[in-house]
Amino acid sequence: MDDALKERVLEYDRASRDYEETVDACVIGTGCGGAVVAKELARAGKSVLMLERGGFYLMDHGDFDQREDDMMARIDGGRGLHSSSDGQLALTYGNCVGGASVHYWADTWRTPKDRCEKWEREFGVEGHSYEELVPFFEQVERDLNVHAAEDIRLNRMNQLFDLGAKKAGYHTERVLQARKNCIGSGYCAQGCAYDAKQSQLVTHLPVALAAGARIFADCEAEQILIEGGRAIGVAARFIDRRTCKPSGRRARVRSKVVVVAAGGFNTAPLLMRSRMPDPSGQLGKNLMVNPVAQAFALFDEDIVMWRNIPAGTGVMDFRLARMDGGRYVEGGYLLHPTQLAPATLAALLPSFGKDHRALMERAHQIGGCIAWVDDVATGRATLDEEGHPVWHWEMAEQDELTIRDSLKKQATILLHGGAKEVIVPDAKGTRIRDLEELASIDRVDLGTMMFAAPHPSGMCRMGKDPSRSVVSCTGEAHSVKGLFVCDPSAFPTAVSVDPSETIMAFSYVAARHLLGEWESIAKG
Amino acid sequence: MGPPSQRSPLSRRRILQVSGAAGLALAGGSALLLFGSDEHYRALLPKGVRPTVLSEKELAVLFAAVDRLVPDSEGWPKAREARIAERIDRELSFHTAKMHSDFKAVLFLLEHGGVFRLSFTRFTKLSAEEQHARLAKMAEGAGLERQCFAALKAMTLFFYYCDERCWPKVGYQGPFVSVRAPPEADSNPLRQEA
Repeated sequence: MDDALKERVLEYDRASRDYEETVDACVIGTGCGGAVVAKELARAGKSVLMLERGGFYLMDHGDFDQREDDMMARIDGGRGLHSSSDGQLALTYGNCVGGASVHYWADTWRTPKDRCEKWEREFGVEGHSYEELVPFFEQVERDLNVHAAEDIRLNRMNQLFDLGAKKAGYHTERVLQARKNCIGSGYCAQGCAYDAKQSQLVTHLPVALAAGARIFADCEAEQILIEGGRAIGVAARFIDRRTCKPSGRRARVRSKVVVVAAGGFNTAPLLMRSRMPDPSGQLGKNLMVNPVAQAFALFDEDIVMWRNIPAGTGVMDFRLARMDGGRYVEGGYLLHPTQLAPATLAALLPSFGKDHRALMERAHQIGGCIAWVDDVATGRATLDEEGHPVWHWEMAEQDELTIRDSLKKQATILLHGGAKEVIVPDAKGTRIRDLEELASIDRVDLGTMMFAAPHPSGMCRMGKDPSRSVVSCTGEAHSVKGLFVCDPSAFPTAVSVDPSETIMAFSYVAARHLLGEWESIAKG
Repeated sequence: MGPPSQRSPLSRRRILQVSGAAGLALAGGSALLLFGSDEHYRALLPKGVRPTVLSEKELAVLFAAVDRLVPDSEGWPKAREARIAERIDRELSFHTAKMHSDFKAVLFLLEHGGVFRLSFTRFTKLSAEEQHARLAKMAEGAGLERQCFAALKAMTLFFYYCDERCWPKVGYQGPFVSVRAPPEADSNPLRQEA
């Protein structure tokens, strides 16, 4: 990043006083949602200040050292340690300038047309039909160099996944990737050390900064300031990155518009902490997460799954659950090869002691699959006595069926791909050596498995009806003027695919509305 | 949009937000002070080790657990050489007081939770084989028990396999970049003392 642009980012160690700022727009969060809105507003000449809870890390500062522990502490929310209240979900979200796009896999999907139609049909969402979003999809795909994964980018696990799926009779497709000049290092989840992954850090944020936007990094929004039914600014505090505690320095921002893009897990809790009126009763509810079910497998050849890109191929035909008269039949997930670096793999493999060591000695021969499950369960967030969010989520009966079905399909692919043994990461470490043994998955205690929760959505549900939704179809809160939600919190349900492109497209819609109606919105 | 990565396995650390756990946490924090002599726990700690967030007793329980989760094998670093227990203790200092009490509750349950199985011997008083068996039972136990086990296991093994000495053993060549850039809030005691 250009030095002049870096100067527009204030970090904790240069925040030497309290700050009083007056801007046109204060944007909370610098991920896919916040970056797009900030870019659009700044390019239209609005003064924009972005607040980011996490730190500012750059390739040319050598911040991405590719070590799992360092990078988890640096770029992941809760230093990678946040979970749902019962421990079943490992919450995966970003905590750095660029948000979750810094650690994501770069899979890029348009919102499925059926999902747009569902949102319109069931929630009255207008202005977000597939056709209306297409211009924004095209813009995002140009800006992020979105293209199908090339052959050279498929590691051995991807190749065996492709082979196994085809042998099983499943159709595979290449996954679209937001990358440029990727060298296939395999450290996508640790933050790209080569600026090849087209995260917000290297795409929309530099444009926003060049257009005049500023960023306060290490700056946590504590409360949206609401007066007379409209948002008037944000109260925030700086966090000392060395201790992860407040530094004592504060920022008070007065703005005509507040855009909350703190992410699917954190936007609703911030609004709850700000005591935003919620006549719908839906704020902080309807949390969906795309829980990730996975199976590992032992091969008798080197897999080295931690190299090259994570998921260049996949089976998409099971994205929608197939029902028969209300009875679940199959599907409701995407299937992909998985990618884990060794320490994370170690944490997830079953067993401990010598049994676990025996597995890890063959870590280079371990591969696996994942299923992104289109969950039907809805969780919620509450605040603890100190105002920290607590996330609650319980698996619904259909989710359980979906997860078991996905594990069977994963095992089928892995065995057809040459796996000698499939390992389910439940407490027993269930093993499957033959297709005849797939039924053992029905006996797996899913309560002993952990599911990553990478795609939160729904806790500020969008809709036309203020009695059923938190934000309107423009992204503006029904109950607070000048307060916009531009992240997946506004999605009425999960997207059923990686949501990054949907988040950006929705943010473009909100930004266009903001600019088109600026005078009336800003003046209230 | 995040990596599906299952990259936050350690988050089970907060598991004791489950109902009833807060009470257990409070009870646990004080109960560890009540049960067992100082000398017993101190003897379990390597000489010179000082806790950061945990009490000496809690850190001693953590050392005992880590010793069972990571086996001694020739050519591999021992858990104590990798300073895993101390690292977990330091890591806690970068989190909330709520998380501290949650983790203390995990250790309390590990040390005294045998009573739920009518086994009144503390974890740290068991033989290595008995400790292994107790952990195995926790892994498949009721919700709270297995969640405690999962939290301990995930943190221990994650930090252990972040130790560079393990990498050649698992066929991992390590990062491509030569620069090392530990985070400003670094929990690795080995690196801090290097």
